[in-house]
Amino acid sequence: MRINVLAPETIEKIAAGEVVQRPGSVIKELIDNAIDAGASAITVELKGDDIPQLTVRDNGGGMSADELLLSVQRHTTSKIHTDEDLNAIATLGFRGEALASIAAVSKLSIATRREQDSQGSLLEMPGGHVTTTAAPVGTKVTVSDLFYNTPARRKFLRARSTEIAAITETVQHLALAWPGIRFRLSNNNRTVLATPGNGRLIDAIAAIAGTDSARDMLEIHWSQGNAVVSGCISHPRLHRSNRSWQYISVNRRPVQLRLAAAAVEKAYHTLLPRDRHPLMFLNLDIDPELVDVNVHPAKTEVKFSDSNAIYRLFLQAAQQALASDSSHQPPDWVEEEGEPLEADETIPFFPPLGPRSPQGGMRPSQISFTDAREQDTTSQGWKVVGQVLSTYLVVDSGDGMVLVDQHAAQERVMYEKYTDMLEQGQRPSQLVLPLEVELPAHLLQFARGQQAQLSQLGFGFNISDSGIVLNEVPLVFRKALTTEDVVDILEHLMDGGAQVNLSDRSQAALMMMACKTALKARQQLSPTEARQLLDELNRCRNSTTCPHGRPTTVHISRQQLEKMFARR
Amino acid sequence: MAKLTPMMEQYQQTKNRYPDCLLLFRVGDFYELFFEDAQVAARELSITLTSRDGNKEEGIPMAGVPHHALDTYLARLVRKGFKVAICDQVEDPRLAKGLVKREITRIVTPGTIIEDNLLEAAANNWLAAVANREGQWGLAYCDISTGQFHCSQLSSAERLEATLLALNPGEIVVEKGVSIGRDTAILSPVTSTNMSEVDQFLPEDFPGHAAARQAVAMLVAYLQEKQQHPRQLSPLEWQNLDTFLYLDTVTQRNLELLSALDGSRSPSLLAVLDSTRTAMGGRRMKNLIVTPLTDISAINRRLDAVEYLLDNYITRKQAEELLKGFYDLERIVTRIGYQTANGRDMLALGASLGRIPQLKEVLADMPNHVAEGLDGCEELCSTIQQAIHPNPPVGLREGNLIRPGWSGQLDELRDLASGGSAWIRSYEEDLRKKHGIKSLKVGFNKVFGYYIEVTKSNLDLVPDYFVRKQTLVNCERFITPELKEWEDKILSANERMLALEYQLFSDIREQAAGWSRAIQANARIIAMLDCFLALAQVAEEHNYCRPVVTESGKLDIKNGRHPVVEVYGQDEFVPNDCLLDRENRQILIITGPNMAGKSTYMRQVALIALMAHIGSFVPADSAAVGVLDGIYTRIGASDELAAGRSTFMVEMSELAGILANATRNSLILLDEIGRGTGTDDGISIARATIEYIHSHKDLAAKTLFATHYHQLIGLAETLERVANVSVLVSERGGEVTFLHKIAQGGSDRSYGIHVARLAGLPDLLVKEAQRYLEEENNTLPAASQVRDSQPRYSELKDLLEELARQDIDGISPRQAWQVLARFQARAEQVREVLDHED
Repeated sequence: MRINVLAPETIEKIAAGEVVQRPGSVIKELIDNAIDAGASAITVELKGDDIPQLTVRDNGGGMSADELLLSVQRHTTSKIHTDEDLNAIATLGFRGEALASIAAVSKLSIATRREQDSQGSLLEMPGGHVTTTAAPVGTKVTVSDLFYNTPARRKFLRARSTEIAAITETVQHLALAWPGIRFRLSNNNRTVLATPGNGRLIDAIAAIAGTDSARDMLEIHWSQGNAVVSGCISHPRLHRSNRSWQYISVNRRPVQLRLAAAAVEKAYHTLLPRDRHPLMFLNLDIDPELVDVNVHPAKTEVKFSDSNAIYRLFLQAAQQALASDSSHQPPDWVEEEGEPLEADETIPFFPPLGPRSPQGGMRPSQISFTDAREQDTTSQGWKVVGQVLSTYLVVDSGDGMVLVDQHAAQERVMYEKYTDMLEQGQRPSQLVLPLEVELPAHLLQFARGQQAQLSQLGFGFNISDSGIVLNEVPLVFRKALTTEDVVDILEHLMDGGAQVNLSDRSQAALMMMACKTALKARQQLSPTEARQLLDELNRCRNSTTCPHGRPTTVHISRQQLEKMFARR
Repeated sequence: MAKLTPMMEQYQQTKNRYPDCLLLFRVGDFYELFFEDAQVAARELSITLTSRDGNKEEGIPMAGVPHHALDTYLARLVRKGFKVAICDQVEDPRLAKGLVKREITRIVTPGTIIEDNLLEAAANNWLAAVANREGQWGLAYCDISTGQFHCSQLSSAERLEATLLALNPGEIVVEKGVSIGRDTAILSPVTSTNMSEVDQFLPEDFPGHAAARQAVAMLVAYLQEKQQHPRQLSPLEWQNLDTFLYLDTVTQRNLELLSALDGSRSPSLLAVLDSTRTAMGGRRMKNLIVTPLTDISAINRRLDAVEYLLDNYITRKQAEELLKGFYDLERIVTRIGYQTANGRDMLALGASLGRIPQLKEVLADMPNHVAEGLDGCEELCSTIQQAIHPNPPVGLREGNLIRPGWSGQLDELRDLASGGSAWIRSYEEDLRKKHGIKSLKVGFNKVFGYYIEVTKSNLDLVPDYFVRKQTLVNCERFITPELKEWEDKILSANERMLALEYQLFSDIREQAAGWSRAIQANARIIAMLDCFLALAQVAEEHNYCRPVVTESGKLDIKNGRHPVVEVYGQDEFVPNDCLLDRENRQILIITGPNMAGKSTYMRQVALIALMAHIGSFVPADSAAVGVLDGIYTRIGASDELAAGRSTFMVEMSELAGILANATRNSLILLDEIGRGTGTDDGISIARATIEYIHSHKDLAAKTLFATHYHQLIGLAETLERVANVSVLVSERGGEVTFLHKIAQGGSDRSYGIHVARLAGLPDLLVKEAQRYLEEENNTLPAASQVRDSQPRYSELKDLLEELARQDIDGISPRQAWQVLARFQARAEQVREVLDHED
């Protein structure tokens, strides 16, 4: 084997391979060019079976005949002029490689016309001659026989439907980043995607994710310095089982930005059920000097000069949006609310008389109230009617029925109490008897390392050989702590990993504690206790879910009741 | 002629009353046709032609169809344009003494059908009546399947023709002997009209005169004759056709508004605009396109609605979704009125009404309160939802019309009828046990009713009280008194159930009939909403803009596009501007080569103006449209040779019509006037036409005049309101490209030869034509000189040119040798040609 110089065509193909991996990459590069050309409408057409013929048409500025010739050559671009420009890239494309790469591995045809020219220019590759043609203002690029001369790459392409799906994903991401541009994607003359391009993100979301999803979106607009996060995130009642509906862009460049998605999910905190993810459509406007786009061949990954700041920015933006939305509706399964009934038309569920039932029974419709007259209303006008399965409170809300999971409600109440107390920095309470807790090695290590922070939280202790001796605990833990409890708390605190702020881990710990000390399910409540619980729940900031994200209340409207009884 | 049998006499008498119909005569299980009718039917329906009394010499031709297949054959006949009279046996043949009584029960003509399977969903089926009195033309038309009923009066035959073309009625009622000159519609002469009844149908402030009244009378009389009920129609609506933009017949056809020139639906303006989701909307859209408005505020109201929907994407999508669930309310209401609506119709009605509240809410903010008039008819809607069975059959006598729980009596009967089968099973079980016949079965057939079946091997176990009824190969069938008693109960319960169910259903249907005005009003509003949604959708899809409609008399379009060609054409569409006004640019002379887009340009200007008058957005970057009163067209060469008129004659007639009718508020499109005659005549006529339109003060219409006579370009100098534009062509090194771009100034080159080459004429011919063109005096040589024309000279010239073009720098010796060899071969070829010449 000898070292030799590669032939020009081979060099071209190798270079092209970085940029053009599949039809989706071609589409992305061509749309980037169209956007940079100032287009307000971009059409993508896919034709044919197998590897589709790709056509991207735009109504942007177009090119002159000379520019057209240059455009397909390597290292030619209109987007940057000097290397200083590389520090502050303001366009989507900048490498001057895309068209050359595409031309190297396909049969390319470009028709273009500028506003000021009466005739258009047509270039076909291979060939390379520019001829005159009739054309509207803008550019049309047609890519046929992709990878015709690189059989290896062609073999590695996935099934047509997979490739189409990848193309669709690419176009969707771009359409959501540019709601002011009308996008149309068609596959063999069937429209796959069409956005209105009227500048409103919510309409683009409606076109792509459906009008139902669009109705449950919250707007975000948050700035810090001259960095701005804007867009929409889903209302907590709307969520998905995966992260596929999370679209982020930086300076309107679609990117994969894990840290942003993580920050936003964090903001939802306890508002979503476990393993469910929000939808997000966000753009970060930031000084181009603070972002490096030239990291990845496909430009989908970017690097920030200060990623922590970016994380915080997204987190705060999302938190703000969630907090300002006052309509914390109960989760999914409650639909339209009807007109409210007159208050005196209550529908008592059970006759209010009955003996207290023994604990542990699973018989349905057990009533635990003895006195019918004790139907006091809570602060929001709810009347507690009864308790079912010793687990759920049955409430008359005036315009329907409400079922409350007492355990979840209690958890939420206690969790918020603890959180508040923590924030206000309560003094720890001394334990009458110091508690000796044996710890496994990693926990001991952790306790040792974080002793100061833990004591700030309220846990004061001394280190012993095999564990710790606890002599101070936060005021909230009035009930006796067991050693298992302590181990659990420490595990939770450690779970977040070394980098995360200690206060976050404490949230997890608190959640767990709230769970343990709250009412167990299947516990009898007196009417007063029930009323008190509901009042306390009502005063909570997020009364609709327990700290783990499960719902606390279910509302059943009058309409739904009537439907159930086939009265409608 | 042999004497006819009594039945055939009956037939003949009936037939004489309806000579213009095919008579379907019920005989037993068949509908029969006789004599010529039979021959026609056999031919059209591909059924066998036999004869009655076939063995005699004078057998009567006969053809028939089974009664249960009537609808299918009926559909075919009606679609082919026949009128059919159906004569049924009106008494039970078993009870008849002598000849069975027969009567005409139905007359079906193309204009009077109401059955769904015979009608096209998204098109009205108009029945029109035309009368001529005192120089005026009266036109009355109705669609009995939807209830629409209109009347208007026209002052000229051309206007009548244009209106009829737009309307496209399936049938036209005329007075005997009158012919309207249209060969597509069925003309039905009406026999008598009763003028005294007419007044009941006319509204109080009826503005029409004798002609209109006569037309209405004729229509009403015809309907009554055909056993339809004029009362079922909505109240008569007067239409002042002068309030619409006048589109002459040529314009309608050539602009391909509702269909392409060959008659297919696409490509046409309708195909582009019509994305309606309901049948009512589909019909309204067709109507919208051919009746553009001239009232600016009405146009703006429509534009406001479209703009609102365009701006509110989510609202629009929600409304579209809701509209998908609407059925054809107009036709359902008609069937309710005729008492032929079935369970499915009622369910469809209920489902549609149920969606109205939501629709109203979604569209609450529409400008001009468009959606406010919708009435959810809640009472009727909830009755239907509670009463009608969720899965009714198509028929009306098979039960399953009423929901359980609606009528206690019906439910009881149902239990009885179905419970009967439970009883049967237990009876069967009992008998088996009692008599020890394990294989005993209780069955049912139409002949014996319920029976007990016992296999031959068990016959010895059969008790005495079993009465034998039927013997079969391997079993015997019996009945018992108990069984029969129960059978009566069940069967009668069944009968009573069906009767009661039908009665209950009829009552509800009757109730619905009381709501028909409200429902029809809903249908009109929904149809309009559907059209607005469709217009908004196409405006978004194809990037249309809102036209500004004023009285200015100006037509100013920036980057306009042809709405149909840009969608259905192969190449990328190149947009173009157009400016026409009253002061400087009244007449545009368009020159340039053929196939370069002159006709497309003219049509797109007309279509954009038309769309603006409809209240639709238009395909352009911006458009200011001065209100017009008519669009007149003379495009293409329509040879009506069959009618004995040559191209040129037709052209001149059409031109005459235009010049007589157009006003200063009209738009005229003229394509290649003067083409069908000698060059000098043609140029003269063209020039005079332009001058006439320019100078005649009543006729200062905006005009687009496309021509290949580039001598006319000079007119712009002498006439102040004439301007020149032309289509751009690019010529580079012998390659000619049509740019489809319109530029100011005239063009004096036709590029006809280029077009000839593109068309595929032989190279040699094209080259010669080119050479003749370039010669100064392009005179044809005298016959003797023909042999002297030098084809060889041009061949040689080519060869030398090619040789000169070769790039010999930088090629290898081998390649040079190849080039040389090639040329040697070519030279050989040319020499052969030259030798041949000599």
